[in-house]
Amino acid sequence: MTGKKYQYIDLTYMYEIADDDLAFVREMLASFIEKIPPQFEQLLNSAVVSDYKQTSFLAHKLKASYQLMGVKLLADMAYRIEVDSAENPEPAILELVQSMKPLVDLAIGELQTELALIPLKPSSDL
Amino acid sequence: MKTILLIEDEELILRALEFRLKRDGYNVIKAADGREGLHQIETNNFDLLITDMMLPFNNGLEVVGKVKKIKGKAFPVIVLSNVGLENTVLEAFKMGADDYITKPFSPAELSIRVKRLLN
Repeated sequence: MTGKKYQYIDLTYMYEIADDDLAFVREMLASFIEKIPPQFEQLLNSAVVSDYKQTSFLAHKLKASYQLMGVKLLADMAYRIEVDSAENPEPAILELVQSMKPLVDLAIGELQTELALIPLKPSSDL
Repeated sequence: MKTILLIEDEELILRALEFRLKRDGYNVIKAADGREGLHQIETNNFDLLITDMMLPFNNGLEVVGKVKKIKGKAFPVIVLSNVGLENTVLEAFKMGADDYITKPFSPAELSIRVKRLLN
């Protein structure tokens, strides 16, 4: 259903968690699309002001959401930002965060495509 | 029905865990940070605690310590951890945690570990 259908996302894990409950997948995708861009902006802002403790914390949190949606490239970058911000804080971290922005947009675009394919129906488990 | 207190500040992960636990037939109480989690521990009855380690306000270690103090050393606790935080997990075990689950979590592993501690 998902596999290599997309370039930036892989929803295999998300569908495994949902156990064929498409309504739940729909809710999760919609939530990611709504909440992740502002969270990324927070990450960017913390990197801009060189608040490395906050940058590391936010990258850690974003990493988990990226993993959930199989956005491996962004999850790997978030992990690098998380570790570097904690262990070796330097201005280059801002460049890395900034380089994530177009990838976030592309991943969101693919998730919107997938979301449009899932029929509207409330989940029975939430 | 067994009740699980679930403390996780990343909303999508919290919802995914809640979904799986409800699918397995458990009642779930949620808390989105350490402070709310400590409040839930003090005010609610539940049978198992699952908590993330990196939490705003009060971290997972404080949460584990609090639940063991209030509910007793035998009260079952599972900690959630990311790869790379093994030292934090060890600290959680020293505080009395009974098991841990690495994120991204395996739904099957979650079911087994929860069932083992609740039975």
